[in-house]
Amino acid sequence: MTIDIAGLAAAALQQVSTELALPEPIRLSDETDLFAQVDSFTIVDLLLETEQQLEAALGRYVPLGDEAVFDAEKSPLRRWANWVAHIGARCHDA
Amino acid sequence: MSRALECLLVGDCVTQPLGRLASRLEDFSVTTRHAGIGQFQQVLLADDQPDVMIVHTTPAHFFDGATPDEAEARMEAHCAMLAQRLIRGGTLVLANTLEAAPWHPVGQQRLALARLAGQYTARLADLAAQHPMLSVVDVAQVLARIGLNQCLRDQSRLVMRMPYTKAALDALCDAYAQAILERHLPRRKVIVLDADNTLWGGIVGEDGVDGVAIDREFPGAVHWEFQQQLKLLHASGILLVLASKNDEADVRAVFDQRRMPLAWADFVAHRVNWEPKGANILAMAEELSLGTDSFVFIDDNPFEIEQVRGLVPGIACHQFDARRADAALALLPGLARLHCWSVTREDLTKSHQYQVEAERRALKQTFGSLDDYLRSLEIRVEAGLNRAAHVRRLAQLTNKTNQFNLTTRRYSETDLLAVMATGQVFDFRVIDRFGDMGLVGVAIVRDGALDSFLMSCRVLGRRIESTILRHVVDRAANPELLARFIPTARNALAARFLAENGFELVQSTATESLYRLGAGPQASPDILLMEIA
Repeated sequence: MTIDIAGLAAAALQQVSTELALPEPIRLSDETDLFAQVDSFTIVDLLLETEQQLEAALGRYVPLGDEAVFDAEKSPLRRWANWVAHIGARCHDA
Repeated sequence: MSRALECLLVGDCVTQPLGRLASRLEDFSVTTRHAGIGQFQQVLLADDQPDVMIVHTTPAHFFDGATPDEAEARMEAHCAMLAQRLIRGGTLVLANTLEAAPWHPVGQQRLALARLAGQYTARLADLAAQHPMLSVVDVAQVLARIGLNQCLRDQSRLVMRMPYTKAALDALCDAYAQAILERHLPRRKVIVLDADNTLWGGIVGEDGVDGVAIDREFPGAVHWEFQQQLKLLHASGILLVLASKNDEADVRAVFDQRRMPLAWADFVAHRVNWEPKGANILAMAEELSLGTDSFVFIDDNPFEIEQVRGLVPGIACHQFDARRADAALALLPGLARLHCWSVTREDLTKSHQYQVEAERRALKQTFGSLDDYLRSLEIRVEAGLNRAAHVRRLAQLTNKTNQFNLTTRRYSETDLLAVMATGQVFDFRVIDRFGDMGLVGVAIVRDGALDSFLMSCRVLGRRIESTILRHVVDRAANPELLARFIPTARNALAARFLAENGFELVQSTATESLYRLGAGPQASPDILLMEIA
């Protein structure tokens, strides 16, 4: 089964933005540094929302959180394209 | 205008995602604060007094790295801190049951740990019985309904101190919001029910009494269990009324001849005829002296629902579809405004009270004069002052009474306890030859003024209100006592009460009329008022 990971990731971010009523809309491009724009608690919400949407799409749980996600230097959320690639890699591993 | 509500959350996990409960509290302007992870002692023992404090514990807080005895000691210490917080008062505290006991390779040890988790629930229940400002959210049941495997994630727990999935968090936010609403908003009072294809399957006029489905076999079993749910609500003080397009004899025959959880007598009003249901519901609301914004209407027919929704202001309408059993049996449990945390003695006798009121109305028809009728009732009023034991009922009255209410000031239990310390909170129980109507009146005097004066509409028209006002004036012992009438859309009934009971108008604006005590009210000679300690 193939899914549009980039679309799913963007939809998850949009859902979190809406639920948390984030003050500024986040403009997405491959270079977007999400880590710099939101706090760690929003990242928690983003991981949970993305995992839920992945589980609904794939029918299985795909864990996205690891020691790198919250690391200021190594986080894939430092660059949106890296985050999408991170999700893809996790889907492949799971 | 939304009421402000400050909510402080503390947990042994990240609590920020639970902050989304604020979006479920539409009637409130909610601010949330989050304590650091695990800071239970700092929060529970501090002087901070938010309106609501959510103290969320996961099983790890008690069981992680602990022997069973150590886990039990942690539970005891935690409950002791909760008790200390509750004794200080001023805050609604929400605690939770534990979703699961930890894994153990030995079956008997697993059972011992499960029993410990159950004992924690029992401790919380004991605390809640002792402390009215503690609510317990059954997180175990909330997550069990979803399925623990869909709710818990070890990776999330270990990476980011958040053990719950999004689905679990949504359900937890719903549950915590519900617990807050139960304490702050009045319950809907009346459920209006259709009969055919709602209380039973089929149409009695076509299928006959024996042909309708109400038994323990599907599909009759769906209606049976729905009636059992209604019976539970009825027993907790919700009034049931019947609105059915039928010949009354046919509907009564089903109740008389078929075995089912509900009886005809469980319904405090009936309109079984061929008139529009909206008009019938309006008539029953007037008969019961209740606002239709406290009504819920349940029918299988979307046309009827649309008609009622268009005609009856404020009523909440829901469609019942017995063909979808899960949705049908989730309908009543899902109506948050039917829930409450606890019930008062008055709640438990509500239906009986309305039935007895019908007997009083019948008696009144037999008398030539109002004076003779009132004398025949042998009315007795018991007056209490600053009785903290009744604070739950008094708070309920201040929050639910809209019509005969001079100022419509709302008080929580905490508010009333504070006023009792510095002012006078009068409560009034009314008894007559038909029975005890319970606590039906509240008057609050503070800072030289009658801050609140209200009475349940059930007891109006018997000169009781003048008698209790006389008592309040005498006990306030202030010849300069001030009083206000603050007009709302619902309390026109009380507009002239002060003027007609010996208070003199001082000034009047669009938003309020200020009065000063003059000659004062006259108590009725036919009413016996006794002060109760």
